Amino acid sequence: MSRRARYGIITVGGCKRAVLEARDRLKKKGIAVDYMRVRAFPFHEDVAAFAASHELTFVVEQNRDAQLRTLLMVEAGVPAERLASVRVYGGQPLAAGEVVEGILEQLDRVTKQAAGGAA
Amino acid sequence: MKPQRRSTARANDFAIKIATVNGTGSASANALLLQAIFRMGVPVSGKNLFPSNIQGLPTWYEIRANGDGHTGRADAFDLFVAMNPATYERDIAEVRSGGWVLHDSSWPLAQSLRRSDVNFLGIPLAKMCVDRFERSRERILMKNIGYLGALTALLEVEVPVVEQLLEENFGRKQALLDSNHEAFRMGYDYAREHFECPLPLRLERMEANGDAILIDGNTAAALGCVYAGATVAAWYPITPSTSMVDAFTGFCRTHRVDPETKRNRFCILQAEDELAAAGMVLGANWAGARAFTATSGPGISLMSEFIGLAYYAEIPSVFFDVQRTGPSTGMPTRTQQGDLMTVVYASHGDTKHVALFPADPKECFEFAVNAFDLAERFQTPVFVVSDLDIAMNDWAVPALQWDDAYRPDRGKVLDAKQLEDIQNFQRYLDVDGDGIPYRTMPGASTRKMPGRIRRWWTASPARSRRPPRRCRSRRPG
Repeated sequence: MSRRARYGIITVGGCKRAVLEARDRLKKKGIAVDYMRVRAFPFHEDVAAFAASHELTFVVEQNRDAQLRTLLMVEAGVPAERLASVRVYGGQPLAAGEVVEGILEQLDRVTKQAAGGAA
Repeated sequence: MKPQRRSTARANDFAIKIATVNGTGSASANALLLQAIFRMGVPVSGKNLFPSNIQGLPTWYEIRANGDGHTGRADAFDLFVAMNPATYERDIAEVRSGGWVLHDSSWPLAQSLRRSDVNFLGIPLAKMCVDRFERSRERILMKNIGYLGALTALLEVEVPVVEQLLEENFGRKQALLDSNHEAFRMGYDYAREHFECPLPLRLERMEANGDAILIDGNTAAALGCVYAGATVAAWYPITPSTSMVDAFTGFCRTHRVDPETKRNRFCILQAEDELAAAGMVLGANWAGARAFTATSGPGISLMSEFIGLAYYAEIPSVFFDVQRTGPSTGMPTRTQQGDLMTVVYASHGDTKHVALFPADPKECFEFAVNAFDLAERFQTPVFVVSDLDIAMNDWAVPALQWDDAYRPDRGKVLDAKQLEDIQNFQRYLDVDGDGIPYRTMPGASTRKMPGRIRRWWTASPARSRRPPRRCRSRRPG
């Protein structure tokens, strides 16, 4: 776990290697992202603290339904608006490019939302 | 054509994808290439993408070498080994611009399949195999070792490393070893003679792998069960968990047979279905063994009723859920993390379970041991939730560590003397105020056991924890 940046990533299981590589690629694009991987359920209190200490946390997982994000909301009490879902569920092992793409899409969405709200 | 070197090319940074037909024996050649790169000290990963049938459909194997240590699945492929004409079109379309396609040129490649931005490397593998080998099966199998030879030349894999691997894998039968050596040299020599070797995708020896090993998650998890002291596995076959019980069975046959009596000190129960398997796991754990099952999402669904019983009766039990895609929708050989919600709330309300999520085979080993300890400490079902990618692919991970001082955490278990000393033993009485009552194991006390067993089932002030009436009415005595 690291906790310095504006954004965070929470992921689970076999996503680890692709997510860490994606984090390196994002850093090269000037986007710093902290990283946490949940290793067990029920969640440790550090999980909620991690989400609380970031403006936005991307939840990277390999299913259609954002199940980890749902558990973070229901069981760790993280507000929905602080969790942006990045889901890849094509049936193949996760690749870093898919994670980068998903995070950039979510960032773009949030940026546009903020701009719309300001207008 | 002779491919041009990229001026920016660097060693140990490429991904290749090998397309073959399922059942043609390509797995051995692909694994040998993965192991050879690994033994050169280069970070590497292999991903097997296979269909859910036995023979005849397309299958792919991806190998990624990355000197920076990034071994997740590759985004794009530099080199495609196209050995399955049925998938030529999509395979060739998938190669990155400027990349390479290695194909069997025994038959001409249709002009419509060619791309101007890709380098085609044709090797008449089938023709050469027909010329050199007599038996039809051998002609098919040796094509794979032939492309291994060509890749060894093209990628500059160290030849002694590959030859050593051939010796280790086929050395028991001299004739087989000779055939493999011949096929390897056939592909290697052809590539050296006809192409500029190595390609810019070349390898260079590193020392990045340290004490790492190549292991798949199911094997590692099975080994963890052995180290944790598990002696019973009850299961019903389901991809992608089957190889875990297969591995556990193999380890038990080696390590859990009494050397003097030759009797098995383990029990593998292949049940008639997942429901029965879960029941057997509960029974064995209740009786004092460390028992587990391995299944996938559809199996967890079927086991949910017994999972609820284990939760309420507070029976330690370990469930390995190797996740796959979809509920029996024809994609059992694809990976996914679709069971997170299912496992943490498995059963029918008012249940919440401990789940462990390993990220790689090393954690499959460690979490397997943790799972048995947690299950007994908290007297509850515990889930180890991996997935097909972790479970069935070979991953390079640091060598598994073990502390010989480890002793299983059996939790709050009363032995015979403690049981005798207690005036009124109540199985579900929360004596310590931590929600975990004391339990006994059948056989702990000999003379008074029938009475003790009766008390185990009854006389608890925690009424909500009592077994249903049907059980109580059938109590012995």
